[in-house]
Amino acid sequence: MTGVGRHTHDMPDAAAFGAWVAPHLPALSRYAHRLVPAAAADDVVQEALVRAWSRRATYDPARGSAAPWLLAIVADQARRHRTRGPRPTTLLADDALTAGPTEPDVDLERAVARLPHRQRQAVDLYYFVGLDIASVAQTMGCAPGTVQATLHQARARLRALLGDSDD
Amino acid sequence: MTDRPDPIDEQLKGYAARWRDALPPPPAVPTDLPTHSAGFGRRGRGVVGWLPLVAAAVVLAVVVVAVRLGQGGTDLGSVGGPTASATTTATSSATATGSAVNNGVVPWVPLPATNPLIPVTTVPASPDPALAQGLPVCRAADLTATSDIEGATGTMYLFVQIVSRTGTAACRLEGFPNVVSLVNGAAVSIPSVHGTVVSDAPGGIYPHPVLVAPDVPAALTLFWSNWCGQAVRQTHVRLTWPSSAGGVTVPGFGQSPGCQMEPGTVVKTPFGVSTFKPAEVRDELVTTAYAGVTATMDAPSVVAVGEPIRLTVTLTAPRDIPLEPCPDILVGDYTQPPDGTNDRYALNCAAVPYRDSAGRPYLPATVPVRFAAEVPAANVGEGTKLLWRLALPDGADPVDAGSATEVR
Repeated sequence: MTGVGRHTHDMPDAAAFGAWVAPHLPALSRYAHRLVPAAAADDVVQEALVRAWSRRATYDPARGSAAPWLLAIVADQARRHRTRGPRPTTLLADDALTAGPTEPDVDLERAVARLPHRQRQAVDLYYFVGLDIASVAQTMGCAPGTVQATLHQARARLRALLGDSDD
Repeated sequence: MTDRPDPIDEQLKGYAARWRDALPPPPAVPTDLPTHSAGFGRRGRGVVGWLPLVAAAVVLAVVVVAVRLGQGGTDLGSVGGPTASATTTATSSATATGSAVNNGVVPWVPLPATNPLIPVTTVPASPDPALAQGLPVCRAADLTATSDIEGATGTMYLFVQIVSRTGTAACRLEGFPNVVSLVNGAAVSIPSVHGTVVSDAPGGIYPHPVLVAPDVPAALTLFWSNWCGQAVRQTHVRLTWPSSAGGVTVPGFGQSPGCQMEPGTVVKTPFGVSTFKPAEVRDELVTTAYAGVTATMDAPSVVAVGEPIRLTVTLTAPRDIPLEPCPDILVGDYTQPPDGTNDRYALNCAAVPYRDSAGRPYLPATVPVRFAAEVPAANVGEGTKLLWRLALPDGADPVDAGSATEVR
């Protein structure tokens, strides 16, 4: 980032923060909807924004763009939200019925829910949040090639799960 | 590697697009943010520095795809595509014709297929497997090896590179190595399995002998994920192979990967081991003049029963590509039997508004060209999965686009 001048001791402008995060709100909301029940997604996003505001001094643009940083905070808030209440065993499968299309692909949602954590995370970020590979890699803290391999494995596993579900 | 359409990938893309469309709008940024004295970013770069970023982000939120009719074209940036050595025909600058293009879209006409002969260029596989044939099996003493780890604690890759020492003759490696996990020199029992799913070799298997020389490395990939149980440590990996005394030892994964299953699960997933393979591999490539052309599709997410599906496909070429011969296209529901609803037509090349100096229609470099298409109602079933594809020779990279449409 070029950084115009230095304002180490500036009083922050909440409006500017709001304008800064605004382009990323759709991605944050999508990710929250993948991680928690639909009814809690907005709360998770707002809690994440408050946390991002309070931790904004830790954001270093030299380490990556804003979206992965914000998404990581959303993931953290979602984890905290889940620990506050009972954990449903088929979180995404059931909530696919209350978030997303009126006729969800229930088989696909259930198969995605059965993926190992990292594979599910890659699928959520790439397909449902709509990030590109590089941004997924930043969010997951790995190399782009690893993301591609993880997605490859996830699709192979989904293929097997969906094939099994046809029996 | 040749990419082929993956139905799972298409299913995910189609469903995810519908899922996103159905989401409610995101919440607003809270208005009661507490004020603090810290500024944005490390070292307090301050608020003002972010305003240009905000302005740029707002601009980027508006996506415009335009097709200019006239001399020159809108440069929407270069388009990435697979590398290919296909011969391309340089053309002079574009001139527009008075073609019947509707709102920048080449109109749909169900023209009968012409089955043109699309020339192909075959690029041999690299490296040539024949180079390793007949060479002696490498002696471990003549080799050096290094390794590099990639990946977070949940999924890890260990990339091994092997070269022969300076002054030694070329030799070959082939098949799977035997592996022994070591902790500070002592063998430990960590299960491994031949074959692994990595993106650079299907099943982790390279089916040919591999040339190794002082300036020609061979490679191996080890892959480890989802170790559920007491953590183990692998400081080194020793690799041996038949017909050779000794082996090569490289730094290993270190700590075992994290568990990706429910707490308390005990699953000791073996790490996968690929075959020896060239450090850089490219399969034999069958390519055409259309290599690098990308296609995207806009189709309705819902149509009524009995209605055709009207869609738009946008082709973007990395260089000027004459539409000669004018290719056929396949358009229809790709889940149906090929003799059913995957109808074949001629692309409406005559209506493409760009002409080269020879008067041929062509796709200008980096200029998106939009084509209308239509799937007849009779070919539309419930949950139709659309495919639009240039009809290219077998083995060539496809130029296609797909989406899912719900029929009610």
